[in-house]
Amino acid sequence: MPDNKDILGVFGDTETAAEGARKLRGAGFTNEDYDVLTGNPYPEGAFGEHVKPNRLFVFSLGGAFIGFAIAFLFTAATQTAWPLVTGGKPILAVPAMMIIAYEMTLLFAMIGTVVGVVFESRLPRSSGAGPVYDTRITSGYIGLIVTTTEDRLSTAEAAFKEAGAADVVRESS
Amino acid sequence: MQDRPRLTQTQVNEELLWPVFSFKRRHALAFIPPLILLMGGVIAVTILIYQGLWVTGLQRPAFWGFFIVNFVFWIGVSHAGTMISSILRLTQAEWKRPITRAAEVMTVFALITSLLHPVIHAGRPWRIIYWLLPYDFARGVWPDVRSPLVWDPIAITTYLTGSILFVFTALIPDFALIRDQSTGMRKKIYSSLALGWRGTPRQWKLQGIFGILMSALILPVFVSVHSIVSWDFAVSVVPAWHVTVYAPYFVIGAVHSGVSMVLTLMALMRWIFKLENYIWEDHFDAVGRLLIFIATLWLFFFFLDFAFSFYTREEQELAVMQRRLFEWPFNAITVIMIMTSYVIPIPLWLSKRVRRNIPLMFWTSILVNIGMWLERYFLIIPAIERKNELTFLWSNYVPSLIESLVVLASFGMVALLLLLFAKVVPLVPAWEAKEGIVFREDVQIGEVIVPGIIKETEEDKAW
Amino acid sequence: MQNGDQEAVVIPGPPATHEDITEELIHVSRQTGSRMKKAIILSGILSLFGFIGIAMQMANGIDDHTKWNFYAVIYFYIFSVTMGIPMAGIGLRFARAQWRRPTSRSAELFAIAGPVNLIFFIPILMVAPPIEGRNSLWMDWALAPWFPDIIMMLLLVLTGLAFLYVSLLPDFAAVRDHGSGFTQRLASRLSRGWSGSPKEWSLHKSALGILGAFYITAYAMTHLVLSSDFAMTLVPGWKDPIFPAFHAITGLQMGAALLIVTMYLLRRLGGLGRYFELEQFWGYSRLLLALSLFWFYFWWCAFILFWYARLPHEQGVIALFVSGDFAVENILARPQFLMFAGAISFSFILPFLILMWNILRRSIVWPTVVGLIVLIGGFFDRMRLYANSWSIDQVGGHGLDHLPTVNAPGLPDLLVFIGMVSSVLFLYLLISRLVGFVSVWETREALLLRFIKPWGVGYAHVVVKPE
Repeated sequence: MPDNKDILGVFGDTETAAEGARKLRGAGFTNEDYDVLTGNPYPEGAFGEHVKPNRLFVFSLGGAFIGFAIAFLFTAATQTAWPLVTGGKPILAVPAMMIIAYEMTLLFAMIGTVVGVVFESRLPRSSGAGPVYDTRITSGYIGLIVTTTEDRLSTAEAAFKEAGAADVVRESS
Repeated sequence: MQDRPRLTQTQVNEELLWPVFSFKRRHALAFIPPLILLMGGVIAVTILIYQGLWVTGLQRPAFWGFFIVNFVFWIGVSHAGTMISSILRLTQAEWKRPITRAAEVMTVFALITSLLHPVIHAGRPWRIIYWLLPYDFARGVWPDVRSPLVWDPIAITTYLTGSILFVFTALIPDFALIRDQSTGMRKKIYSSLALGWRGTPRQWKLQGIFGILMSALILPVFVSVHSIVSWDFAVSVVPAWHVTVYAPYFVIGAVHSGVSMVLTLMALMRWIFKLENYIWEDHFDAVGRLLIFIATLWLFFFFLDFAFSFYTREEQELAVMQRRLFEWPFNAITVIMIMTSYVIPIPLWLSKRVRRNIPLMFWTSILVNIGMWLERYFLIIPAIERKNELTFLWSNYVPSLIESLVVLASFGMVALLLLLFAKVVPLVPAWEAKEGIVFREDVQIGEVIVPGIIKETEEDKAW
Repeated sequence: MQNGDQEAVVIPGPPATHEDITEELIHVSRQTGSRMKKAIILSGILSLFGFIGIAMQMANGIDDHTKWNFYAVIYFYIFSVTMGIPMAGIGLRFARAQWRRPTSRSAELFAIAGPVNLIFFIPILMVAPPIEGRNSLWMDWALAPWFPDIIMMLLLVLTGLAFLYVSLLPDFAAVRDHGSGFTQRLASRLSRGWSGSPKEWSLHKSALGILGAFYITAYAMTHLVLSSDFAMTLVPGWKDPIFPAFHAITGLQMGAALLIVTMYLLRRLGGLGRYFELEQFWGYSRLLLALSLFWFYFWWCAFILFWYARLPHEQGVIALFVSGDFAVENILARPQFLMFAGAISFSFILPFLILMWNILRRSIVWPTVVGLIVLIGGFFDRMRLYANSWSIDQVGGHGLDHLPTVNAPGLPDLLVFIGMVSSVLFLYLLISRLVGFVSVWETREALLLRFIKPWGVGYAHVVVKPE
C-alpha cells in the first residue's frame, strides 16, 4: 500500500471553496478522497463531501443498559442485605427501585453518548490538530484536505490554485 | 425582525474572545460585588462551624429553614439551562444561539452551589466525610433506597454529571478556536482540552447529533430532579405538604425562576461583555414570550394546590392555609410572592415594547426571582412549624443573620463562578454564532427583506 | 465530469403553486363524491342511535348513578378526545411550528364537536349525585356542581367555535371567490365582506391569539371542574390536585392521536398526500411521544405519594384505580388491575417503546399505528377512572369502605357510543364540504416562506421564519 499524504487548500469564502471542490472532482478526485475543515458547521454536503454513517446510538444504548443493570443490582442488593421494613413498604420496593433505575439509566446513557461522540469524532488525537492544518480555519477560512498518493499531490495543488485558494499547506516530510 | 449587519468571523472571534485574552476593567470591576457577598458567607459559615447550629434560627420542629429554601431555589434555577438549551435545541429555535452556553453553565454552577447547602446545614460537615470514607460495610447498614433523601443525591448527581458533560463536549470546538488564536502555555493547555479537534464534517455532524441526543436524554432528568426534590416534602404526611401536584408545580416553578434568571444573566452579559451584536432585543422578546406561557402554567398549578387545600376541609390543612394567607409574616410573603411572580411582570411582558426594553426586562426578571424565592418559603416554613399536632412542639422560625448571609453569598458564588468561567471560555458559543451567520440567508418578499435560515442543501443534479 | 459552472445548477421548483392550491383545496377537496355522500348519510342516521340510547338508559331510571357508569366512560372519552384536538392546533400555532400549517384546519374543525359534547352532557348533569356529604371544590354551594360546570362547558364550546369561525374567515372568502353553488352562497354570507387588507390580517392574527389563549384557559379549567366534580367527588378519600392536570394532558394526548389517524385517512382516502407529508407525521409523532411520557409522569406523581405514605384512605384509591382488591391473590382476576394494565400499556408503554426510535417516528405508518394504540389506551383509561368511580354508592366517609362491583356496559351504552362518534363524524364531514380539510390561507402563506437558492456545490432550501 503506497503511503498516503495530506495536502490542504485554504479558501477565503464559500464560493471559492465550492469551486475548489468542483476543480478537485474535475481532476479525478472523488468525495472519498477529500474532507473539509471549517471553524463552524456548514450545511451537510455543501462542498460535496461524504460523511460515513456513525454508530453513536450503540454507545448511548449500551450505556443505558449498563446503568439500568447497576441500579437494579445496587437497589436489590442493598434492600435484601438489610431487610428492614420502613413505613410499611415492602423489602423490594419496586417504585423506589424504578426511580433509581431511571436516573442511573439516563446517567450512563449520557456518559455513553459523550464517550461515543468523542470516539466517533476520532478524538482525542495525540498530534493535536495535526501538521496539515491552518489556524485561519477558525477565523472563517475553509479548508479542503486531500489524502492521496505523493504523485497526485501536485494535481491537487494545481486544482486548489486554479480555484483561487489563499494558501496550500503540505505535509512536511 | 430587524435588519442585522452581517459580522465577519474575525470580528466574532475578537468580540467574543476578548475576556479570555485580556482582563479589561469592566470585567475586573464585575468581580467586586460577588466577592463581597461571598466573603460575608465565608465569615458566616466559619462562625456557624465554630459555634454550632444554634446560631441559626432552626429549632424543633422547624429543622428546615433558609438553607433548605435556598437549596430548593438554586436547584430550581439550575433547570433553566436544560429548558433553554435542550428544549430550544429540540425545537430548532434560532434564538437559542447566544444563550445556550451561559444557561448550561449556570445550571452547573447553581447545582454546585445548591449542593453546598446540605453540607453547611449539617453543622459539622467533616462528619459526612467521616461517615462515608471508609464506608462501613461490616455492619451491613446500607442507604435506604426507599427514601426520597436517597433519590435526591442520585438525581442531582445525574443532572450535574450530565450538565457538565454537555457543557464540556459543546465547548470542544471553542477550545480549538482558542488553541488556534493562542501561543505558548495557553496554546498547550487548550490543545489538550480541544482533544485534537479539526472541524471535519463528521465531527460537526456528531456535534449536531450530540446536541439533539443529549437534549433528549437530559430532559427526562430535568423533569425528575425537581420532582424528586418536591417529593422530599410531598411523600411525607405533613399537612399541606402531602399534595400530589407538588412535582409538576415545583418543576414549572423551577423553570419560571430559572428562565427569569437567564434573562437577568443575558442583560448582565450584554452589558459587562459588550455583546450587543449577539444578544439582541429579539432574544429578550422571545424569552419574554416563553416566560408568559411558563408563568401562566405555574399559576395554574399554584391554583390547583390552593383550590384543593379546601377540598377535604381537613382541619390541619386548612389551618396551614390560614397561616399562609392571613397570619404575619406569611400573609405579606404571599402577597409579595403573587405580585412579583405574576401580577407585575406578566401584564408588562404582554407588551412587545416592554419585552424589547432591556432594562425593564432585567428588573422584572429580578422581581420574579424574589417572588419565586419567597414561594419556596411560603411552601415550606408554615407547614413545618406546625407539622405536629402537639402545640408544645410548635415553633416560630426566625431566620438569623448567619443564614441570611449564607443565602446572599450563594448569589455571589454563582456570579463569581460565571465571571471566572468567562475568563476561560467565551460565554457566547463562538461556533454557534458563526453557524448562525453562515446559515442565514436574507430573502426579499415584495419590498421587505426578511431573514431566512438554510434548512438543508442538496447537490447539483449535474454533479 | 461537469465543469461546475453556477449556471448549470438545476434548481427545483416550489412544492405547489397558487393555482395548485386553488384547484386542490377549493375544488377537488370540497367535491362530494358518492363515497362522501354515503358517509355523511350513514353517520347522520347513526347519530340518532345516541338519542335512542339515552332514552333507553333514562327508562332504567336516573336516580342510581351506578347504572350510568359506562355512559360516563363514553361521554368523558369522547369529550377528552374531541376537545383536545383543537388544543393541538392552537398550541403549535403559538409555538410557531411552521410544519403544522397543512394540519391546522383538520384540527380546528373538531371544535364542531363542541355542541355534541354539550348535548350529551345534559344526562350527566341530571344523573350525577349531589355534592352534599362529599368532598368537593364548591363548599356546599347549592348551585354546584351543575351551574359552574355548564358555564365552563359553554365557555369552552363557544370559544372553540369562535376560534374556528375566525380561522375560517379568509377561507370563506376564498370559497366565495372560487367556489360555486349553495356552498359559494353560504360562504359569501359567512365571509362578512373579507377583502384581505393588511388591517384585516392584523386583526385576524390578534383575534386568533386572544381566542387561542382563551381556549387553552377554558380547556384547563373545564377539565378541572369536570374531573373533580364527576370523578374525584364520587370517591371518598380521594384528594388529588394533579388529577385535573392528568385529565387535561391525557385528553391532549388522545386528541393528538386522533389527529394523526385523521391525517392518515385524509392522505389515503382524501387524496391530500401533498399536504399531509412525512414532515407533518414526524412532527406529531414527537408531540405524541412527549404526551405519552406526560401520561406516565402525571399518573406517577399521584401514585408515588399514595404508595409511599401508606395512608389508609389513599390505599383505597390505589386499589380502586391501579391494583384492584389486595385480598384477591391472582392479580389477573382483579378487574381494576386489568383496566389499569390496559391503560398504561396502550397509553404509555407501547407508544414509548415504538416512538423512542427516530426511524419509526420519522415515518407515516408507525405514528398512525401508535395513534390507534393511544386511542385504545385512552378508552381503557377513562374506563378505569369513570366505570370505577361511578360504581361507588358510598357517600362521604374518610375513605372507601370496600371496592365497588362495576356494572357491565349494556346495549344503551353501545348505542350512545355509536351515536356520539357518528354525530361528531357527521358534523365534521358536513363542515368540510363548505371549507375543505386544509386551510387555503395558511397554505398560501407557507408558500411565501420557502425558497431555493444556489449554494455551495448545489442549492439550499431556505425557510423564512416570520414574526
